[in-house]
Amino acid sequence: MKLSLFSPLPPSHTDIANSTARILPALASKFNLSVYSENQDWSPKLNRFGEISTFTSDNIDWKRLNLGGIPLYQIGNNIHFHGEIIRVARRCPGIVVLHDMAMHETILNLCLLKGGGRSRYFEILHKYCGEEGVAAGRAFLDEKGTDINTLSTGYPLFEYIIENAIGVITHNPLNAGKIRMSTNAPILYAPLPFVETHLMAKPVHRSQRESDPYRILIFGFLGGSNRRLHPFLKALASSSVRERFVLTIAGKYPDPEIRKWVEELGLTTQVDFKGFVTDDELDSLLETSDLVPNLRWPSMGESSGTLLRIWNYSLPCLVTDTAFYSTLPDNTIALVNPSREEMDIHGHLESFVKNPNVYFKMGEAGRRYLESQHSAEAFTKHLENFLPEVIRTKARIYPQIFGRQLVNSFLSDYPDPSARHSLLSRCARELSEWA
Amino acid sequence: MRILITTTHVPFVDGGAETHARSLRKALEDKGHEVDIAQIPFKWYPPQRIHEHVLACRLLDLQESNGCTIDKVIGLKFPAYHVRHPNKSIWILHQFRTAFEMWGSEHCDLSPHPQGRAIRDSIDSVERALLPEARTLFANSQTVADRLKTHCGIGATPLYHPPMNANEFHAGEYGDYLYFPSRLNKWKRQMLALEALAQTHQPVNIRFSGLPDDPSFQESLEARARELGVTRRVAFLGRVPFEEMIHQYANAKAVLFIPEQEDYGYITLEAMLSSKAVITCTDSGGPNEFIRNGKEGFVCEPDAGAIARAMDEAWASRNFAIEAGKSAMIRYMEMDITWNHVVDSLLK
Repeated sequence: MKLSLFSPLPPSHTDIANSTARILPALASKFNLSVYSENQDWSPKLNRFGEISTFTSDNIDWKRLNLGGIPLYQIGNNIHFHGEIIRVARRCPGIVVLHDMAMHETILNLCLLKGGGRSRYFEILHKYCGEEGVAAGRAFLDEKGTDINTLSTGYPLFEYIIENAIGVITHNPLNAGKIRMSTNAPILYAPLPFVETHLMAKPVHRSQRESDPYRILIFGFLGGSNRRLHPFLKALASSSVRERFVLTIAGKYPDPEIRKWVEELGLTTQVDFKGFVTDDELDSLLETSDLVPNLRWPSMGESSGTLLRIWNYSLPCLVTDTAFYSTLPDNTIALVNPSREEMDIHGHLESFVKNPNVYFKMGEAGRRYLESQHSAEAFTKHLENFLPEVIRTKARIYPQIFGRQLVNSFLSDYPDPSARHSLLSRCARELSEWA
Repeated sequence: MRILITTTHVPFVDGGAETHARSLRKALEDKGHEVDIAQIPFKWYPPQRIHEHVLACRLLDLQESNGCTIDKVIGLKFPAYHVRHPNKSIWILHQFRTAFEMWGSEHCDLSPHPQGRAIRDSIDSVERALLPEARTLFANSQTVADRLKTHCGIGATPLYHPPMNANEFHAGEYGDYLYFPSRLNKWKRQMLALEALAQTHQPVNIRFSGLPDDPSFQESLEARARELGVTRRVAFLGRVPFEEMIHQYANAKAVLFIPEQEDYGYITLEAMLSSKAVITCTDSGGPNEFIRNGKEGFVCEPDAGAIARAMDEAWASRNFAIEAGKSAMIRYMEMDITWNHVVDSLLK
């Protein structure tokens, strides 16, 4: 069966790119793949999994896409990696893999940077969030108090992304219910895939140490305040066992700002800055680390590719007790309550020093969970089972699109309002018989 | 009975479909019925227009007209055959082909559109949902019936009808040209005929009659003829009066008709009524329901070389041209291709 996959690819600095690259082998084993990416370049070793081509929404071979099997759109909250994918997905119905529920910032940027401007933004807000949403958006744009995270939490706008989808995949079981309220398309919850099982890391054995410090690693795209880097540094600095730990920070982050925090907190001798590292370098760091905080607050509705990398190396992980992370088995993660964040971090650091084996066993349980739930083969199987349902129901989607166009183009300004209402009812009855 | 024939019409284009509707009307009137034709304008581009026209057809009330009941509706073309009526028969000339057998082909103007596949899926769904509303469902030919079954899983009975003025066609001489009457467009493959002509060894001549759908297409045919060095062996007669067409058929050596996946093809039947062998192709669709290779003409691969060989053989053997022509006429008679049969079937 053919499948047209839209995704950023490495070397794009996004977890979704890495995730796609890892699952391509499993997907290619079951599907005849065409891969579309905004990337101008990608690792040549990916070419053997399918034909890869660059595209933009203004420059894409629609015929090739229409003949190339069902489109599968990897969509996350970042205009740089997903803006063009979103524009194609809204025009050519396919399956949306919705990595983030809070898509507000990306949609705002799409309107402001790629067409439509403020009026289009307010139109979208009005459609999905009413006057209240428009007021909040206006307040944000006029810099009157709201911040983007609060705006995104209150008005996520994922509905705009999935409006024309013929299927939706979510990696977070908590999201399926909310998505269900916004679409008639079939919905699949499938755990975020990692990699084929045989490609997972070799088992790592960790043990208690009496003198050498334990190694904490924080990595990823750390620029957002929701990654809780500053709160963790503060908690570490004020912990009673701070001397038992050293911290490595790797990834993309505002270097001067973080170095200033570290200096102010007196952690300079304990923190090592690595900057952006290659995959292999990150794997080495993971292999030699003992504990990884992966805190997220507020949640953007995401699942976590970062957590899967952590589990791959059987590492214990501190996560915020919210959203997706709250759904994980208790024995695989160490929870931090966001309302008492510093206290809980202190508690975990002290417990770790007292009895690290408890945490090491947690990491091993995480690894077992990764193998059973998050392998690339498991995801491919989920997708294979999902496609027949999508194919059965996809013909329903166009009448809905057509119905909206009908209302917008013809009926909204029909001269007689009372006739407009009856025409609308009549058309709705008619369209319901078509699928 | 008061019978309304519903069909679509592309303004300013008058072709086989319009002729068909008028012929059916006459046949029904000859049987004493009161008949009218509702021609619903149809525009299929941009693709969003398609569903608008389907909806427009569905919203029409054709149960009565001017205070009198319309007893029966006979629908002929998409989307006009989807009008609502409690006593409807559908006699499918053809479905919306670019959504079905022409999907993805070079002639398909739907697949290059961003919503092309979604619209195609939806058209398929509409056909499956609404065609079964008809009390009886016929297809213009076995080719059309087979496509309907393949793409939509719906069965239809082939129902053949004669071409217009069937009685006027007759045999004449077996002259010095092959006759290729048809609208000039890519689907009829006049270009392929020129390519084949260039490969013949016999002094074959071809007379094309019919208007181009797009004026530039004839220019491109003429240019290609020049490139191939066959200009003196082809003639573009344009639109010819009916009497002239009868004459061209009557005195042709054989008829050349090599369309791609023709639904039916009056040309084949007109040739048979003129006692002419037909050269057609394996993928020509409708003509293959009447012409058997070596009997009523030649059925060859859609390849310039193969067509050239068939043209050479028809040209070289006057005997074959005559015998195959006679076989064609006999076969036509045996198949009961009459309006009586059509009317009886539609009104049963």
